[in-house]
Amino acid sequence: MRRFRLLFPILITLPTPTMGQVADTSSATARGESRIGVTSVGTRRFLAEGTGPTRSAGMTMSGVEFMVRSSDGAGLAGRYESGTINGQASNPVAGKVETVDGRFLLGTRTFALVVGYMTRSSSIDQVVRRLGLARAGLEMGRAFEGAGLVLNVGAYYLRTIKPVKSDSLEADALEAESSLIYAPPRWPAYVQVGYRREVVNLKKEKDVLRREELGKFVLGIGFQTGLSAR
Amino acid sequence: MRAVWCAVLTLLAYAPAVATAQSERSVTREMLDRARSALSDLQYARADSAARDVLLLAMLPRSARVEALQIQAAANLPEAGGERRPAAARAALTQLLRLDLANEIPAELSTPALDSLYRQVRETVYAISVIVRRDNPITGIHGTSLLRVRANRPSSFKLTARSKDGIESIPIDSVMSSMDTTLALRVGRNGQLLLRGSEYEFVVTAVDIASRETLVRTYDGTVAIPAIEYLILPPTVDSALLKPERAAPERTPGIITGIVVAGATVLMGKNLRADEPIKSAFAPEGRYMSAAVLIAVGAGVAAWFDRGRVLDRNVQANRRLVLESEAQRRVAIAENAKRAADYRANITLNTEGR
Repeated sequence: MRRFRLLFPILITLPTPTMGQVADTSSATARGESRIGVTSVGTRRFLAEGTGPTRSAGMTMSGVEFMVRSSDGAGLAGRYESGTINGQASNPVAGKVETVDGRFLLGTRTFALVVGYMTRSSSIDQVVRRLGLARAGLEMGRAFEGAGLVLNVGAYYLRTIKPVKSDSLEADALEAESSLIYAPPRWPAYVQVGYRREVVNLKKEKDVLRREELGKFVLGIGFQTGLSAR
Repeated sequence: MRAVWCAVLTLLAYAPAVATAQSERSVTREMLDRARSALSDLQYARADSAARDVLLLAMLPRSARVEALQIQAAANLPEAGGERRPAAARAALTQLLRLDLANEIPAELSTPALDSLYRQVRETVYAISVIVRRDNPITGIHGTSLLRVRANRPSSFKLTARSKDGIESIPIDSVMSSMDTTLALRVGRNGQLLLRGSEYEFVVTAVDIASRETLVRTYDGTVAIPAIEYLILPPTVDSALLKPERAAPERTPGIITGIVVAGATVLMGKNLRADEPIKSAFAPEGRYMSAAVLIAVGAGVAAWFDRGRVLDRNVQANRRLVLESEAQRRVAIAENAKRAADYRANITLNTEGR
């Protein structure tokens, strides 16, 4: 809960300028928005297993993401990321990390509830384990169509819906992200810069087996519609 | 019955004038015939005298004046048997040519000496010829009817219409330099009438470009000219009526939002940490600060160049308004063009120029 308190300032600061100073756009047709692009994610992974030593390693993950949003703001988004930290198999921080993520955006572009599901594969005790985590959270954003600019922040809570049958492995996680997307005039393209922090706990019957912290610096590029008409 | 009486009274009223004109014509003709007869009888002095008498007559028709001058020239430069007065013959020929460059010595009066003198005078005297028609129908507001003008030297020509009271003088056409050209009689210019339905004097002015000598011919004319009514063109769309096509730029909100998101990124980077032992073992991953700076600067730059959101409904409404206005203007312009093309006028000229 303490982490939620830390996220609270993030969640309350964004709506102030984004919701309070909306320009007169009653004479503009609300447009939907869509994006598809590739990402390069510079990732730093910190890991601690039980009472063992803490470890840290870096990698660059590659990814693909898309987003489709209707004119009123509701939509669908997805993301795939994959990267490998080289090292000995006995090193718990090494190995491949892969996530597949799907989300529904319920609400408006300014403020949306997010529900979704993510599978996360990583090596645990030298075995690649895949965990499915349900996601719930908030996403806030503001598009400045006259500038081709979209700013977003989001915060989410994720956890396994039920323990994995074989060994009752569970996980929960907190994730927060911020991003800037810029679309040049007339070109159906965009560039993106952002940051994402993920804090993951693996548990077995209430005992935390592993703690992870991932800091992700995100650069992206791709095609978009809905932001270039200016 | 009343109509018959009116006709009879009208005839009676006009009868003296008609009779006077006919009698003047017959007197002139008789005097000219007498002069020709004297010339045939080699009585040159009598012929000259008779021709001079004709030229002294008031209301002398142009054709009679021409004939009298021809006789006078021939009488003052006889082939044989008479007194030669070249100066008088030259003066008569000068007047003859000044009347019209097209005037010549008729074959029955022609002699080598007279022809030679005629050629000399024609070379030295500045003269013009204007050919006009009595009826000059004009079709269309920009229609014209042509007058042909010639000169024996390069000249500039100008045609003006002068009101009978002499107050108005309306330029009708001009030619900068020519010896044989046409001047356009017109009733309108730029879609508007130049003349009114009235009587005018149409004045052709010729100026010898070299000597600046000026000759003027004046023709009385009657302009039969109906009024033309145009549709009033709808004004083009006043820009004040157009709706704004862009919302106000959101520079300040964009910059503030960028700063807020950058601040949120810093808060997230500093505070969203894993629990111990990671939190104590490692400082937070530091690239959140780079991301925050990029977000703040990028948002600031993009927002600075914000031109405002395109208000597409207003754009469409403005386009409709402009198109409707243009369509109305096009219809009015087409109708006005049709009225201008269908316009008919007539200028009746008295071919006896002065």
